[in-house]
Amino acid sequence: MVDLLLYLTNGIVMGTSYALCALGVALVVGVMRVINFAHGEFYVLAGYLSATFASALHLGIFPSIAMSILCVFFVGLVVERFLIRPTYGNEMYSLIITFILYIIVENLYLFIFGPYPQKPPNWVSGSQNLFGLFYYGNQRLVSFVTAALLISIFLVVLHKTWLGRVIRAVAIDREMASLLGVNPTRINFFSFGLGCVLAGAAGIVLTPIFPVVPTVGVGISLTAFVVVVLGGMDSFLGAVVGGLILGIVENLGVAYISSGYKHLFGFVILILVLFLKPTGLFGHRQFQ
Amino acid sequence: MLLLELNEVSKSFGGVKALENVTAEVQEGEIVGLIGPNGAGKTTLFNVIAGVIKCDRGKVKFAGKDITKYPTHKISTLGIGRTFQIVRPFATMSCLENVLVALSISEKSRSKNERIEKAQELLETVGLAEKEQTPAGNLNLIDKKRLELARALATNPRLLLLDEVIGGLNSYEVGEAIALIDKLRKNFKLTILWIEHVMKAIMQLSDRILVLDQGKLICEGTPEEVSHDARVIRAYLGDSSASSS
Repeated sequence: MVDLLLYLTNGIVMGTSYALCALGVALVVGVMRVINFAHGEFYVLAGYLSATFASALHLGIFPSIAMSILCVFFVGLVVERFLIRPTYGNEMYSLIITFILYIIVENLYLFIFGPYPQKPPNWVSGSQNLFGLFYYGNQRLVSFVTAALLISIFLVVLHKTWLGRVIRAVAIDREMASLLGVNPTRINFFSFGLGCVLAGAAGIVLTPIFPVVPTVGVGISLTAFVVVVLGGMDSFLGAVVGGLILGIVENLGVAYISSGYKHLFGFVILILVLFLKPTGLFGHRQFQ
Repeated sequence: MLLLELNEVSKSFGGVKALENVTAEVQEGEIVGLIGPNGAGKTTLFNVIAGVIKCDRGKVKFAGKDITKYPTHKISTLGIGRTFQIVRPFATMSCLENVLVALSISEKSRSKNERIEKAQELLETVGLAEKEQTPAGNLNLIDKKRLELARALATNPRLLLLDEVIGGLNSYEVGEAIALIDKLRKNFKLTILWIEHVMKAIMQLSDRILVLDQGKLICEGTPEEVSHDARVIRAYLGDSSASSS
């Protein structure tokens, strides 16, 4: 029983970060119909940058985080402007180009940062006794709270501000939005940058717990894709619920079956959901 | 003042000439009907004016500006609004939000509360005041058309392109819709170019009528003139000499 609670807690903590990262995919897919295969690379970039800024430049952890996020946003904007924008109208090109980007960037990381795991300093130390049953690392708790907070802020911005409303309008009907005066190219530009920031934010909250190596990016991307398809391609709420489900299932599977199959559990759930509800849990539209 | 000027506008889709050398003008303050049999190119002409598709040849001028190559959103902010024959609300958003999307561009400088007030005003004008929180996807057809109008009005148009706003309504609703369009036109000082198959409405309300057939402008005149024009009758009913020979 105590074990189960521990695994569930782990699942929820991990799932929240999955959700944060997957929201970026949901945003980019929803607004631009672009699958960014290099999504996870922005997670890795944020991880490395926050570690580097903190250790090499001797900045405090929070200034390092702020700078990393700014850098990730900027890199995302550059990628959109020069790699994605020329492919507008052909989803296959953007898929191929981001796939190539992922390979190049992964090797760049290896070249620049080396093969050894790196991590930024922990934000907090020590641990808490949860439910009077087990001790749980403070860093994990803080990461979880931060991720949950960022998700809430993102959803509030999306549903309560004019910018979020315009982004949703473009995602629903791009042509109609442009007939109402919305510049869809500008919304693409911004959404892609924001999508990268969401991946980066997941990197920021998780790297103190799981140090980054150059190759983790692709796993992060795949996890995010699974979450988004699971929750429904056109649903932001779906990405959040999908992330939590995947986090919990993975952790229970690892604990009770085998850690060797960690990534398999997600795919089994995915296949089951797609079999029963092809649009995903909260989706209305099938992705073509 | 000359508001819209079409100069030899042509557009082909593959081998089909959807529009062929269409030249026409709309004066500020006019309400001009655009009629013609199915497939005559009416909606294509609207798409060209609104910039949704670009014409192959010819020029579109709006208020003296050549807008032929302008992107859609820029044409919208210049003052051309359009509605669709098949309504396209943002289904998961409330009616209020649908209108706010347009207002967040056209009324950028205003505060959030002012925009909300304006959106409520527009919804009230078209008769949707009680449904401002209803998701647009749950509205019935006539209310969706009302919303489409409110949303187009929210872009602050000088020229409004209405694509069969009345089609699909019953005769009571047609009367209501005609009254609404007339009211909007006066309140917002609109110039209107509209496509309509409901002849009663288009004859009653239009100052002038343009008739398209197979991509060509075949007739232009007052409702009275157009309804008696031999070419128009032939376009709609067929050529009696051809069928009897």
